[in-house]
Amino acid sequence: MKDPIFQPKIETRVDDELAFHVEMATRDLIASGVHPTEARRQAEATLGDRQRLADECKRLAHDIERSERRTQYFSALMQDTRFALRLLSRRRSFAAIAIATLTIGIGAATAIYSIVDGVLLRPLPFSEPERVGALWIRQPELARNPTIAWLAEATPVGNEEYQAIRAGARTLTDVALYATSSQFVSRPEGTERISAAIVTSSLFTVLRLSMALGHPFVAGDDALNAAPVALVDWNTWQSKYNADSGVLGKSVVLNREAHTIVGVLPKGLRLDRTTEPPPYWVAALRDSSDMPERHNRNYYALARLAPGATYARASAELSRIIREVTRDSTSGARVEQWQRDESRQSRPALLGLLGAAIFLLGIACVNVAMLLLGESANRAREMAARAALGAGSGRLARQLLVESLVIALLSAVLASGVAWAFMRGLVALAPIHIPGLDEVVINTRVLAFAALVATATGLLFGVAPALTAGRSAVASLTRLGTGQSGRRGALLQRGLIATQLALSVILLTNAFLLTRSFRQLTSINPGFRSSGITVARVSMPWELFREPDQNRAVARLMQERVAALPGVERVAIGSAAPFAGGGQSSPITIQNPDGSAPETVGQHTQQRYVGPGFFEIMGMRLLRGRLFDQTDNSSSNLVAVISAAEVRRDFNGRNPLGVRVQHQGKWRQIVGVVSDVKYRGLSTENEATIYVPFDQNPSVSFTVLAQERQTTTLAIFRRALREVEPNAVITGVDPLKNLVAASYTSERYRTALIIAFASVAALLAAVGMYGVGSRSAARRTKEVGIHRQFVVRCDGALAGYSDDAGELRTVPACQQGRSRGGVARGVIFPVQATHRADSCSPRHGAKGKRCSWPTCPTGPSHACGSRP
Amino acid sequence: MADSKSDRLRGTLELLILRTLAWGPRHGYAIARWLADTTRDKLRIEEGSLYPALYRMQRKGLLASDWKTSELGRPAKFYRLTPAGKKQLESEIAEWKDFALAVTRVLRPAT
Repeated sequence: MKDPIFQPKIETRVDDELAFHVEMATRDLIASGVHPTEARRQAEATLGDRQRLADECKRLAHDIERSERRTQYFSALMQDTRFALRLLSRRRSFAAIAIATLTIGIGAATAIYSIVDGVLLRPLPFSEPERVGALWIRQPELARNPTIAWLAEATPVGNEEYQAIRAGARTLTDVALYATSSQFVSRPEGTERISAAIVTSSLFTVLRLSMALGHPFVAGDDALNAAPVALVDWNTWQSKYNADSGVLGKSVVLNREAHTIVGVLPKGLRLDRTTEPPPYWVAALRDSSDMPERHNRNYYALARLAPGATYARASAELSRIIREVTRDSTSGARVEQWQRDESRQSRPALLGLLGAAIFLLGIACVNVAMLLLGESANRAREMAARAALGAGSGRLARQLLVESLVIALLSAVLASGVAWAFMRGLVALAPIHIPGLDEVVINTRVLAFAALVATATGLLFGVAPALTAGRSAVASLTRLGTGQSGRRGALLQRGLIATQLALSVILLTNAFLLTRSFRQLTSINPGFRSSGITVARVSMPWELFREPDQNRAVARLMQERVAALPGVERVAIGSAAPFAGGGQSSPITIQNPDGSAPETVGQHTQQRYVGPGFFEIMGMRLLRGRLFDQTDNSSSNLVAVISAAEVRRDFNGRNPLGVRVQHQGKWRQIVGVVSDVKYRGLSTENEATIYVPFDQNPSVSFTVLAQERQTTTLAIFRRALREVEPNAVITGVDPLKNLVAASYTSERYRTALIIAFASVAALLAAVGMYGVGSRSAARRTKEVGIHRQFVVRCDGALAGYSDDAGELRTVPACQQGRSRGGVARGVIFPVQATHRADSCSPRHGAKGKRCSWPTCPTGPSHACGSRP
Repeated sequence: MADSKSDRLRGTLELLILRTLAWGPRHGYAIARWLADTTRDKLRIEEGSLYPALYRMQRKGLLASDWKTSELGRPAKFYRLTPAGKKQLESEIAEWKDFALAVTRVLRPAT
C-alpha cells in the first residue's frame, strides 16, 4: 500500500509509458542503422495518433484505478470486520456488556417506534388517505360548561348540516356520515345484540372503497323510509356465511326489520380502529329522527378534499356553511386529516414515550462509548504498535469504527427480538382506546428503523473513541505510551458523563413529575364511596320494552332479586352510576322567583334517574331538604334533587328548595340538595346535576347498585339479573372501585412506562459510571497511593476521588466512607462534586486556599491543603 | 460498431498477450517486439492498439502491472499475469486447439 502522495498522477504515468515505447523503438531502429532523426519519426509513427491513444489509455487507467480502490476498500472492510469479530469473541465480557446495553436501548426504541408507526404513521388503507379528513362542528361557546365542554371542538354532524355541506362545499369532493349503534340481530338460533355501522352511501366515494362482493349503498338507499339494505363485514361473511357468494340477496333481520344483503365489505376495513369491526352495515338517514328539521346531530363525518384544496381552506369554507345553517355566528367547522384526528388523544403520549426511548438509547450509546474509550485506553499499546507498522490514523479510526458498527448491528439483530416481545407486552397491557394499536406489527419498516438506529448509534458511540484512539496512537509513537488517554480523551469522557447524566436526570425528573401528578390524580376524592359497591349495567331491548311500566317492573324485580343474594346489604337503582358511562345531559329551565316568564338559565345539566337508597349507598351527603323515598313514584308529585354545583351555577344564592324547574318538558319541584360527585374522571370538574326519581322516568338502560358486606361472585350477580329477565342485556357487572381505577388506566400505563424507562436509564447510567470509576481506580492505584502517603491529609483519610477530569482530584473526607467509583454520588451530585473537588483539591489547598465547601464537617474555614 | 473481424483480432491479440506474459513480466515495448517477431508481421497488429488492449485486460483483472527499472535504467511499466489471467490463457489455449482441430478435420477430406 503506497502512499498516494508519492505516486505520480495517472496521466503522467500513461505518457511515460508511451514515451518509453517510442524511445525503445528509436533505439532499436538506430541500432539497425537508421538515421537518428528518421528513427525518431518512424518510432513515433508506430503508435499512430499519439494523442488519441494517450486519451484512451488514460480513460482506461482511471477506470482501473477506481475499481482497484473499491476492491481494496472492501477487502479492508472485510478484514476489519473479521478482525472485529475475532476481537469481540476474545473479549467476551466486554462484548456481552456492550451488546446487552445496546440491545436494551435499540429494542426499547424499536418497540415504541413500531407503535408510533402503527398508530400515527402508517397510512390508513384507503386511496390517498392523507386527503380524507374528519369533519366536526365547532361550538367554542360550549367550552364554558364542563358537562358539554367535550362538544366544543368536536360536535357530531346531523343530516341538516350534511345536506347543506353536500350542496355548498367546493373544497370537498364529497362528505359522508357514519355512526355505530347497537342492534338486535334475529337468527334462527336466537336474538343477539350486535353493533352495526350506519353509513351514508357517499361514504363509499369518500373512502373510494371497492367491495369484495356485490355493490355498495347507492343514492336512495340512505333516504327517509327507503327499502332496508345491509352490507356484511368480511370477517362475518367468512364465519357466518362460509364465504358463500350466495349471501347476496339473502336477508338479515336487524331490529325486527328484514334487510336485504347487497354486498360484502372489503377485507380489513375499519371505520373505528378502537373496536372490532361491526358485522353489518346499514344505510343512514332512513329514520324520521334524521329528518333535517329535527336538528339531531348523531353522526361522525368524513370528507375527501377536492383537488387543490387544503384542510385550512376546507375548514374556513365549512365554517361559513355551518354558520349559515345554524344561524349561530359563534359556531364553525373543523376538518382535519382523519388519522391525525383519531390519534389526537394518544399522539402526545406516544411521542413522549418515543422521546423517552430515544433518551434511553442515548444513554446506552454513551455507556458503550465509555466502554470503548476504556478499551481503547487499554489498547493504546496495540494501537501504537499498529501505527508504528504503518497504519495511518484514518486506518486505525476505521478499524475502531467497524468494531462499533459490528457491535451495533449484532445488537440490532438481538434487539429485533426484544422489540417484538416488548411491543407485544405494551399492546397487551395498553388501555384499549388507542386507535390502531391492535394492528401494530414488527414489519420491514420497523426493522429498517432498527437497522438505521443501530448504524446511527454505532457511528455515534464509535466516532469519539475512534478519533481519539487514532490520534493518540499516532501521538504516542513520539512519547512512550503509558496507557494514558490524554487530555483530549479525558475531556471527551467528561462530556460523555455529563451527557449521560443530563439524559438520565431528564428522564428521572419526568418520571418523578408524572408519578406525582398520578398520585395527585388518584388521591382526588370522587365524592362517593367506591369500595364494597358492585355496579351492574343493564340494557333492555328497546323494541321489547316500549312501555315505561315494563322497565319499572323489571328494575324493581331485579332490585329485589339482588337484595336477596347472600352478603348484599342494600340495593338501589339508578340510570347511570359514576364512572360507568351512559350519562346524559339536557338543558333545564328554572322558574323565576316572581313567577314571571322563565328564561333558560341552566345550559346543559347532567341528569340521573335514581331510585330510593341511591344517595345513601353512594355515600352522598344531603345538604338541604330531603332525599327521595318510596313515596316519590309515578303517581306522586314530580320532584327533583339537585347537586351543590347546580345551586352554585344557577341559583345566585337563592334558596332552591321549593323552586320549580323544567326538565325534559316536565315541571318539577326541587326538594333537596346533595353533595357533588365526579362522573367521568377524577380530574373533571364537579358538574351541575339534576336527580329525578327513577319511577317517574324509568330508562331502558339502568344500573343496579349493591352495597355488600362481602363480595359476591360477579357471575352469581349476573345470573340473578338474567333470571329476572332473559331478554335483558347485561353490559357489565363490576366493582365500583374497579370502574374508578379504569378511568385512569392510561395515566397509570404512561406513568408505569416512563418509570420503567427512567429506572433502566438510571441503572445503565450507574453501571456506566461505575465502570468508568472502577477502571480509572484500577489504573491509578499507584498514583492514589502516592497521594495518600505524601500529599493529602484531610481528617486523615482519602474519601473519594472523581476522575471525570481525567486527572486525579481528591476530595477530602467531607463525606465519610470511601466509595470506589461512587455510583450513587455520581448520579446525584455530579456537578457539585466536580465543583467541590476543584475547590478542595490539594493543589488549590497547597496555595493556601480555604475550603469553600460549606458542609465540610471541619467548617468552611478549614484549610484543605497538605498538612505534613 | 466493432465488426466480427476486429472482434476476432482483438480476441487473438488478448490470447497472444497472455501467451507472451506466460514467460514472465514484460513491458509494453517488449510485448510489441515479441508479437512482431513471432507472427512475422502475418497478423498485422498496430502497435497503437496494443496499449488499450493491455489496459482493458488489466481492467478485466487478467493482468497486473508494476513499475520497475528497465534496461534503459529508468522505471518502465511491467505487465504480468494474474491468477485469473493464467486461467484465462489455459482455457483459451484449450479452446483454440479444439477449434483448430475441428477446422483441420473439416478441411482434410477436401484436399
